[in-house]
Amino acid sequence: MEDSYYSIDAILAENQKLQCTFKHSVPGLGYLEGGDAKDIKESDRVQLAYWLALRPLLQTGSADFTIPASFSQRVQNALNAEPRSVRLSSLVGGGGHWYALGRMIAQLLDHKEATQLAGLLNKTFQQRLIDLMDQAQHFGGSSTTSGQGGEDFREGFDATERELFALAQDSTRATKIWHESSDKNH
Amino acid sequence: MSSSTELSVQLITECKRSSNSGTLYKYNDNLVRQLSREIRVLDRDLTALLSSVSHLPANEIPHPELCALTMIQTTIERDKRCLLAYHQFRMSMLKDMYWAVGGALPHVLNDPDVRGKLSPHEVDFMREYARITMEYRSDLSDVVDITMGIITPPKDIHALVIVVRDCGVVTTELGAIDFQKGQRYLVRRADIEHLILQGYLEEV
Repeated sequence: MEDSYYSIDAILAENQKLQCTFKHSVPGLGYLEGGDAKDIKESDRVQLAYWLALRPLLQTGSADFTIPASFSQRVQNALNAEPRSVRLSSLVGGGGHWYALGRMIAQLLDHKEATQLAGLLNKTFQQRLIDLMDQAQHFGGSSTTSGQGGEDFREGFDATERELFALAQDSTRATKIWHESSDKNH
Repeated sequence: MSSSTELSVQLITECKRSSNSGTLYKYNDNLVRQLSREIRVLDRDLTALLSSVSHLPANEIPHPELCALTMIQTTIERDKRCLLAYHQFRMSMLKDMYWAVGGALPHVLNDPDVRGKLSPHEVDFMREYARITMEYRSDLSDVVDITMGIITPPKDIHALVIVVRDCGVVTTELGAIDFQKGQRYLVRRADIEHLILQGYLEEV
């Protein structure tokens, strides 16, 4: 997934929510809490989209955020045990941009935690990629993961993985057509 | 005002659906207008808040106000980004449609189904885009025709084609040919390449 200004996927990914705790009041923005209150008060907890939380969090230090459940210790343990058995799509809502959310959170953490999270994302992606490509090329074939023909694994794809899967399928199809055509000898 | 973020998400979700299904959706004039209005409302809030602290030097603005200012400003920029991304997305889709038929603009614009989905500005854009493309094409006309399909290089000067839809009399190097549905012709490929792209002829 590209991060460009116009990228539809990047815009959607940045729309994921973070739980933020305000360190002081903010006048006139009470509507963000969904209630009738006019202002945000000190230590109020509000679900803010990442794009909105970024500047108040990082630049003015007006709020803290909680690491979302999709990256909790429990999820990390499960991923360390067997990356392919975790359904990434059900960890995050909407389009299932799990890796994108992880990358955004890593940018908000201090160096040590960020490196650890980045390592987890990297390792998860690499270990899942082999099965992903295998299944894209032999769709419906057997799989090294448990579940009916890898169906569980496929349903748990994150948005980036779904995109890769579709690309790999297209390329397999194109290769097959080329292979069966007579043009290749010319 | 609280719905402003929701509106921009609606617009972007529409792009996502459109790209997933590969179909062009009708230009969402209503949503674009609503979002523009939201930006104006936010700008009014921003100006009001700014004037309430304008007597202070920039580094003495209290944290709460500073935070509110940043958040409103961020929301405006986000709305703007979503609006631009929406239009950019549609433009690239329209350009793809234009190139898919070998640069035959009337073929795109005269399709009532497509035409009904475009905004007046998009029609203007398409005309202007076609104009500059044609201008560029004529600069290179002695070397290469940039509107030709290049996915498979031609192996033969001639092509055997069958007429799928009537397309009237076309002047070729062999003289004028009246292409009528169901007939077959052996013609010079360069003369009729664009008719294949537009779906009038099919190669046999």
